[in-house]
Amino acid sequence: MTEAHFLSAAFVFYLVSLIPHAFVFFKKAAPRMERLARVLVVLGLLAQTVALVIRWKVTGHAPMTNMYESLVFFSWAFVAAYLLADFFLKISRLGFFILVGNLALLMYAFSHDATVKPLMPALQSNWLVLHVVTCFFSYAAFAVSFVASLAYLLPFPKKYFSHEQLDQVIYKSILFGFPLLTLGIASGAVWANEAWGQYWSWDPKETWALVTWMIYALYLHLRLIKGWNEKKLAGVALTGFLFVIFTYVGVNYLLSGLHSYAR
Amino acid sequence: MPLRALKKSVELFRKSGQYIASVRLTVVLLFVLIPVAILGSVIPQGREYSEYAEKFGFKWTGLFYQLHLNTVFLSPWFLILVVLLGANILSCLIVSLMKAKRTFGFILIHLSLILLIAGGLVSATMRLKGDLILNEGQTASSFDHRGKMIPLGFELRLKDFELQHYENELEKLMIAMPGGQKPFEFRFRKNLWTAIPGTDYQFQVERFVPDFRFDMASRAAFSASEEPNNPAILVRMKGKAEDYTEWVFANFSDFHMTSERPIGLKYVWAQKVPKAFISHVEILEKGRVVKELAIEVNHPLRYKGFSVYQASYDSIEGKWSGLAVVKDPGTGIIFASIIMIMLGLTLNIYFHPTRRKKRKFEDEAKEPQ
Ligand code: HEM
Repeated sequence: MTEAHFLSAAFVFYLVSLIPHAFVFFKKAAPRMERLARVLVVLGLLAQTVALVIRWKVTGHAPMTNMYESLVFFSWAFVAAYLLADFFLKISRLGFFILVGNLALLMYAFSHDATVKPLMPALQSNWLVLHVVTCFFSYAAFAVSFVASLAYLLPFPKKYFSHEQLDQVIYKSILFGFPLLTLGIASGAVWANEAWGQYWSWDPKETWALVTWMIYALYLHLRLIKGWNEKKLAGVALTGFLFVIFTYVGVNYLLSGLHSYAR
Repeated sequence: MPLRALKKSVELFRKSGQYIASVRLTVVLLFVLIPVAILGSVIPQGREYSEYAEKFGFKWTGLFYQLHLNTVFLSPWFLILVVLLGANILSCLIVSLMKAKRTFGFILIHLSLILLIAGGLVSATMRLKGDLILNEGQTASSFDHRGKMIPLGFELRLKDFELQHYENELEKLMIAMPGGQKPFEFRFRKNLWTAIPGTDYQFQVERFVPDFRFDMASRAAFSASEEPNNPAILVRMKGKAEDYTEWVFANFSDFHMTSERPIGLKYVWAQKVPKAFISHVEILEKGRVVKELAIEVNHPLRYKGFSVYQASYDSIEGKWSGLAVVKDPGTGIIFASIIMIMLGLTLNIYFHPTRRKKRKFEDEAKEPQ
């Protein structure tokens, strides 16, 4: 069986999991549905893991070198981050929205060219894996905080979400993601120094990654200031993820630079 | 009342001292730095005047130059913002150290940021960089840094430049022998004789040009550019009774044969993808070779404080190699700061998962409730 088979299987698992997730969302206590939803997501993640491993084997390099590969990896990290957040923070009520987001992400991935291309010399480096894994895990954590901040800001009736819990989810996911983004940017700098002899060149992708990093640093420090209530903080978290998206996708289309590996 | 004035100014001094060490200032500075950085990514940086003028018009271009918007990250006002942030972090650190109320992780994180800024300033002022374009066999002992020749302290000789391509599986030559069987398909390499099975013919490809033109005066083929606008190969055919060469064009891709040239040739072109650029170099001291090695992308040469990078190459003939020589004392500081911040973040965040349930405010006491 090929990568495509496993990826389709993962997609179907995620899709089917929307049914129990919807139950979990609408009904307060639905432990069996919750379990079913979790099993489906785990199965999906396993299938997606196999797909990633197969692609790694077939191409001979880490599957993170173009837009298609990185989107699939992002989706994988997103699901993993969700399971992790659910384990620690009990966020199965957000599951429906996270899975919808993830399915959209996968469909966007499928709209890209999936053919295997040879690696250009600059990408042949061991730093690639560290750089991409840390960046995308941080993006995944921030994506979880984004969904939580949406739930916070959208006018859901009170019985659906506890704002206090959502604030903790936002905060904890950002806290989890921040060191990863830091390492992602730092490993990129070390790699750039190895490949081009310059650890920082203010190329648009770098600048936007730094801006994103500053927004989340801003979030962490705004929490220390009394005048900033949780609603405003949720707004900052939401904005932060919009910056993630622009750094990841927008820069490729709108600003040109060294990182223009992806179209 | 000079005493009151003195008191007032002391109070003002104390207040501004408090402000410079406050999280409020951090927040303000980040709120300013974020749009500034965005500006620096939206306006292309460090281009020629004419490029801005063409893109944005003279009025905007003048404004850009006046406000340093064409070199935001080198501008004095950006420097001021960064130094302010540094002062903010430093005073925050001093306060925390004096009151001994912070974790070790906190100290590491914020100290590393000072180091980061310091490293950046060192690089901005002391970094040396120059380009070396070397032909095979050529030697360099210094490089040009902004019009100044910097001696290397050793000699660097390019022995050989090697350009490796990925196996090009799509490019091929098809040969239709007279008699009408299925044409043969060959993947070929330059200057390698290949026999055509079942016949007494063999062929080799002698030349490739990406953009074929023919100069009538000198009756010679040449390439008009590096772009693959009209890729062509020169094929030499050798049989028992004949030996001839023929240009075959990818763009005119039908077999074409005539009565005196009954063998049909067809060239299917595909982009060649470079796999590696390798400069094989020697380091010489006092005329003696002390080291031999290969410089590749992602594998620079480091010697006597200099780093030498594979930067560009001769894409037509593969004869010269462009190397970049760099000496940047800021790099070490930056890397130290990276190690420090990662250590601090790990300690403070991953090892204290349950530490904060409730928000704690920094400006609790100062805020009027
Ligand atoms: C761009 C500059 C800065 C960055 C990237 C940064 C980063 C961080 C990070 C990652 C944390 C850890 C998050 C946490 O433990 O909650 C933190 C906490 C903190 N930072 Fe900063 N910081 C910066 C500047 C400052 C400055 C200038 C101050 C002081 C005026 C400051 C004061 C604090 C305080 C009080 C904490 C909370 C410590 C605690 O919860 O124990 N930061 N900062």
